[in-house]
Amino acid sequence: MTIRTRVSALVAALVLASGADAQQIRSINSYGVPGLIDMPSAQMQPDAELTTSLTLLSNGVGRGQIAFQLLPRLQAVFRYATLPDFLNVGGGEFERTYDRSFDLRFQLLKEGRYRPAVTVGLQDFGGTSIYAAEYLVATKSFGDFTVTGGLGWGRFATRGGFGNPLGAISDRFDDRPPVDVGEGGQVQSGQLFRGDAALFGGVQYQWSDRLILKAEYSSDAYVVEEDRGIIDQRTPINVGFDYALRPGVRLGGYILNGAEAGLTLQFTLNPKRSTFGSGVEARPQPVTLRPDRSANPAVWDTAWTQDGVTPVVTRARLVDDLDDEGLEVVATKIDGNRAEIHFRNPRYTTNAQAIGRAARRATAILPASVETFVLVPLNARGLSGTAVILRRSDIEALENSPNGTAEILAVAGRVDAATLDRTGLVVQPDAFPRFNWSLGPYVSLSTFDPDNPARIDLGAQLFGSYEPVQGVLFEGAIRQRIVGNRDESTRRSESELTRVRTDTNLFARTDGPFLQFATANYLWRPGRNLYARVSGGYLEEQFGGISTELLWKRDGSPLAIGVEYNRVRQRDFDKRLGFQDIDATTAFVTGYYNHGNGFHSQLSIGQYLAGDRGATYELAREFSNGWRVSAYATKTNVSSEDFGEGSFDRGIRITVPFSWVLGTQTQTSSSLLIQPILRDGGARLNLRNRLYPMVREQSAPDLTDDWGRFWR
Amino acid sequence: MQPLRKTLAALALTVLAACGNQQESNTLLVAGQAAFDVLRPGGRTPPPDARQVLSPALIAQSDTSALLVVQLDQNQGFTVIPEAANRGTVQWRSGDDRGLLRRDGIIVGTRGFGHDLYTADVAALDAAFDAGGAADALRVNRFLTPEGKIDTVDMICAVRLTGTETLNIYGKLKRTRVFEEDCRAGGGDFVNRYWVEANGTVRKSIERISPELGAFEITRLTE
Repeated sequence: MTIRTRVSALVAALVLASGADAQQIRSINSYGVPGLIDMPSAQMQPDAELTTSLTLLSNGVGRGQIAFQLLPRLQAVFRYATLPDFLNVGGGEFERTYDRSFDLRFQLLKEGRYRPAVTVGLQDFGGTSIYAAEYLVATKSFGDFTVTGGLGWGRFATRGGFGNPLGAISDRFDDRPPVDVGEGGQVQSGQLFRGDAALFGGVQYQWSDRLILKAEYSSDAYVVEEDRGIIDQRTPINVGFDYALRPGVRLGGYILNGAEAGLTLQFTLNPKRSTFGSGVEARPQPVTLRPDRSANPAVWDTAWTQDGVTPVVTRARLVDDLDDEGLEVVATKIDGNRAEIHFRNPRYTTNAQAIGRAARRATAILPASVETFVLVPLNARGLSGTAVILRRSDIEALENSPNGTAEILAVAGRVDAATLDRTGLVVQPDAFPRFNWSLGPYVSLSTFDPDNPARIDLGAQLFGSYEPVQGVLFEGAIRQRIVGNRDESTRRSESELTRVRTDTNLFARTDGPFLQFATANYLWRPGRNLYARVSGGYLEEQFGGISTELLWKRDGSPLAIGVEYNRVRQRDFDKRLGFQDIDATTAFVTGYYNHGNGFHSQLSIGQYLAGDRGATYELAREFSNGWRVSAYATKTNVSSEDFGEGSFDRGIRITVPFSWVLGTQTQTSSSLLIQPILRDGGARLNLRNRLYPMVREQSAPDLTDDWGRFWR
Repeated sequence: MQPLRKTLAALALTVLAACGNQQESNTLLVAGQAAFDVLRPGGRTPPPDARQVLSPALIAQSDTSALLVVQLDQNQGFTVIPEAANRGTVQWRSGDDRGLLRRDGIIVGTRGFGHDLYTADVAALDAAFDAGGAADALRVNRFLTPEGKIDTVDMICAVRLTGTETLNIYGKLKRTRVFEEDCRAGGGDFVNRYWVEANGTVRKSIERISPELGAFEITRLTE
């Protein structure tokens, strides 16, 4: 890696904004979506764009937003906002409030030569609805000018409102009922596109490659904020600018209603773009060609299988050479014309690349008579999935073929490794026992606490794992918090349910060393297409007990089905060895489905920690490079009132692979779970070693979807 | 001690004290190591440019073939030597484990540069050199995207003989015909240039690798 790319890697890691193409990224409004200042436009961000933005106003209002371009025409937004002196606490007193909200935007029409783009949007369509608005907006570019005009409802119809045109369809659109907040979290479907409508619009001017000037007429009268004295508007006209600081980083400034100054900082990331393209890891070793058979018949015979030395030396060389590629040979089975190599892949983000590297190395080591390679990648826990069978002559012939990736896939065979005959399989003497450990820092993050947007603990962690034989795993981690503020949460649980998660802040108060987890596990393949796990011990930070799981997953099938059963007891708040009196039994049937094009669904039905029963649905968009953005929601037989604030459990998960940031191959990734609020309903165990995420990439369709990296 | 300073001190201590045989599982350590690699003393020292050390005497002493590659956008030169050949494609490697694949003296792949050219089908281009040019030489470039997918770009390129030129390659004069491969009208946005000797050897070329990497200037130093 050159110095320049290293510097770029660090910058990318620090600002999380690498590789962005400034020409494609849209300037955003103060709500984090493409737009003017407060008003939205009909533009969309590039597909898969992850836009993080922070808006600050001079009156103390702040908004943080994460927007994801789920599809080229569909954008979803999560927002966390704070407003000073807004929450009515009685007696004419108002306090600062914190509020979470979601938006959805769908582009009905893309911009054409003569046609504007048209987008319909729902802003803050659930919960307290502080920012609730709907809009239909059109945007058209004319050279350096971009003109936007729209029709708004809700908050965007509080200035210059007129009778709702949708009233011509039905009278029910004429009036907008008051918000029924309840416990929050409910979609305010009775409000959408109801009541008065109003017009808004504006224009952007592209002053230079980096600078955009903006002006708009806003149809938002800030009615409640005016009442609270948070803003004193003087004009409906807002003006501002937007400046590209560097690719992927933009700074906007504006004057709002002639009353307040505002700043918006925008960071963009896109899994489809990377500073390092396909990666800067070392080139692969070339395929070693065998000598011509007719000219060197002796080299091709199989007498070596009987000499007692060659097989041993061959195994040793396989271990050494695959180790140079970061692959760990666990077992081999080599005969005159076939070699089976079982190896762990702790380095490459795709099994296809690991298989490709192993195959090329094997051509340099295995005697010429060995024509069939059976490559069995194992996951981090030693479980096998699909074995890939390659003809050596195909590897030799297709190495440099222009369409070699598709051609080698077309001739590769795949079988379930559980069906392979283990007779003659030689397990490497040093493969077991395995002992791994690390001492290093850890971070525990609690996001979007209703009282504080981010609470963080930082400390030291000692991790260890021990595998005496294949499939048996003991692992645990001891932590010591050094600094942080997660213990400062004083929220007392008032949950109507068994307090399986709402006492999380009490777990965060332990001062001394604590056991993060400590488990004994057995993982195995009970048969064709089946994977199994049994775990026992301190399963996670708050619960200990036993956990069992069985997964059916067939190579090539987009569907997998898992069942799990867990019997647990809540741990003591000090997270040492003791337990409290709360017992729980959870059990689920889960269906996993790969829709193709990177979209994955997961539906779990069963019983949750608090004894409630229901279902969790998660939709994820994934990328072969390890990026993953997903949203989930859980609805159980707990009523909204009993569930408490938020009404039901939901959240967003974002996973960023370090290989994408650094450009080198590493399986390390960073995940962020954003849960608007943590309650007891719909709560599940945070288990390590769940089977589906662990094994799914070892078989098709994931294995073949990632095949592009075979020759990399 | 201020909270921020205390936090930074704690982070620094835990990172510095980090050890074990499975540190790659710790995200903070991986990020910290990446930062350290850049910020450590000497971490920013640029590698020497091959052009600064190459000389006719050094080239004459070489017992292996060698190419000088200049990454034009970064103005950085390095040398590569052949590693293996398979069915007409020669794999060249640099000292820092990056790779170049050439067929008939034309680049058909790069490895380890980031936005690499994964493969290229340039059979028509080689035939055009023999024929003195071609109006419609098919070039198929494939790129491996950050998503791990293959992005295929088909282009029809005009190959024109633009003249002759005698190159001075570190003191050795090489008479060449100069070809232009113009792909701008046929789906591409670049023009490559090749200096081809009478025996078909591509002595020098300027070839676009990818939009992000730009062009490489490649000079055959030996033979």
